[in-house]
Amino acid sequence: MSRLSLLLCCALLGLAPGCAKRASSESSAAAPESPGMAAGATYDAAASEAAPMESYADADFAKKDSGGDAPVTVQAAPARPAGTVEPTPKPADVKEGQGAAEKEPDKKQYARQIIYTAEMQISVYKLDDAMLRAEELTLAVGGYIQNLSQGYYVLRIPAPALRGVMDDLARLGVVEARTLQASDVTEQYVDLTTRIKVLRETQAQLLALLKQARNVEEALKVRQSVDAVTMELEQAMGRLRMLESLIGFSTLTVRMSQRGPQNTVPSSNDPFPWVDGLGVEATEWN
Amino acid sequence: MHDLKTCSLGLVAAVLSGCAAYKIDPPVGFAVVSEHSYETRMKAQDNVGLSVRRFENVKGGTLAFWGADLVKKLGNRDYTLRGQSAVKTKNGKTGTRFDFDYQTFDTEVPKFYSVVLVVTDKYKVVLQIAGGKEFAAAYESRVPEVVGKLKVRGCKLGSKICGGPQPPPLSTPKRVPTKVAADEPAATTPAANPAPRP
Repeated sequence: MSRLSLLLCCALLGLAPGCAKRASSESSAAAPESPGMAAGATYDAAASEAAPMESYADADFAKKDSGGDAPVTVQAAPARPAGTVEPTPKPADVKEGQGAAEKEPDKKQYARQIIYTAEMQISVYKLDDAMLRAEELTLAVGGYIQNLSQGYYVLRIPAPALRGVMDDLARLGVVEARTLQASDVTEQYVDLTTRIKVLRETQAQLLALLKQARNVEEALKVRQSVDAVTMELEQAMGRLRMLESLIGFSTLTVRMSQRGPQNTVPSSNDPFPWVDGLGVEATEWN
Repeated sequence: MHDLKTCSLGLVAAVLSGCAAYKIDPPVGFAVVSEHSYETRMKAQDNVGLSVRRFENVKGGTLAFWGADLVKKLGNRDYTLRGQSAVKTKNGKTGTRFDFDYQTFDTEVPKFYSVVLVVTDKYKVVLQIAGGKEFAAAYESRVPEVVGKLKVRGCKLGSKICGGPQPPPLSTPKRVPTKVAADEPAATTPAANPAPRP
């Protein structure tokens, strides 16, 4: 009993500097869950964490395999429509960091990670046709539609294709407003990957200790620690999945309005927009 | 004294009416909905609309120039030109009549749309008649009568614009559909296996 407690303390103390280092660099990270909250987690769930991690091909923490064959109980990443591109396409800016990545393979995942968010307001003559075309353009580049209502789209576009899709959408009508924002989340990304790596190491060591437990009391004590670490690991992985989704698929909000004679915006850079005020609608109105 | 007053008022009225770009008396079956110096709107019982609008003209703006501009831009909005002919207003100004077919993009109801364009040195005056396609025959045949109620002003003495030639026969330009860039690598994959529509 005392031997096991000593080993447990040593394991936790040995990992403490890593956690402290991570905590210092991650100002926005949430506080670890208290061990008491992990009562619902199971050993099988903890042991099978490696399955979803394999999807993060370029992350060095994916190599871990704790050997569990039991069913995965963690929540899977949101499914994407068939025919979409790779799960984690990188923004175009990633290329800038790839030269450095070749020199330092260990730091490959530290290339710039950017979330692109864009908005467009387009005035079109045929709203239904334009909406259909917007859908086609989105699917053609491997994106998907996150939200849809009349004249309003929230599209998720693979980051490298965002500009192209915006240009194509602009041809559907008159662009009345267009914005593009880039948010650098490299620090959050690196912090999360580091945190997950540390948590996995902790989990592996705790599981090794669990196997050495000689009685139920010892096993229960270690299990509490395993559950706490597993819970924190799942939360971190969830955040990483969300971050990678936001990085890989830019969010493009499109608002379309139907053009009519009431529109004052000229249909192009037309120096004579007089015809915009003519037509059936203008004549039948009133 | 009374004669002088009458004469003065008549002179003022004549001057004021001379300043207006156009004047139109409501044709039979139409009632005025709104009237401004730049626009007059009328309606028939069967919801066929008649409107006259004036726009400022610019140097070089001839009937041929604006006619081509009109047909091209309406063509971009899916108005299909069916016919084109010369017309003459009440005060003898020549213009061009264009007849279009059109479907409203929200309900896809077929419509008829006839425009008469008269260009003077100072203005371009557009007379429009539009309504349901089922009324096309009844109202298109009345266009000469309606134009016969319209007076257009703004011609200078010896104007080349007012006496200018008719536009050449025009036609609706063909629209080029927007295409996805051919070099998009993923262009064919989703089409073969499209994602379900929300």
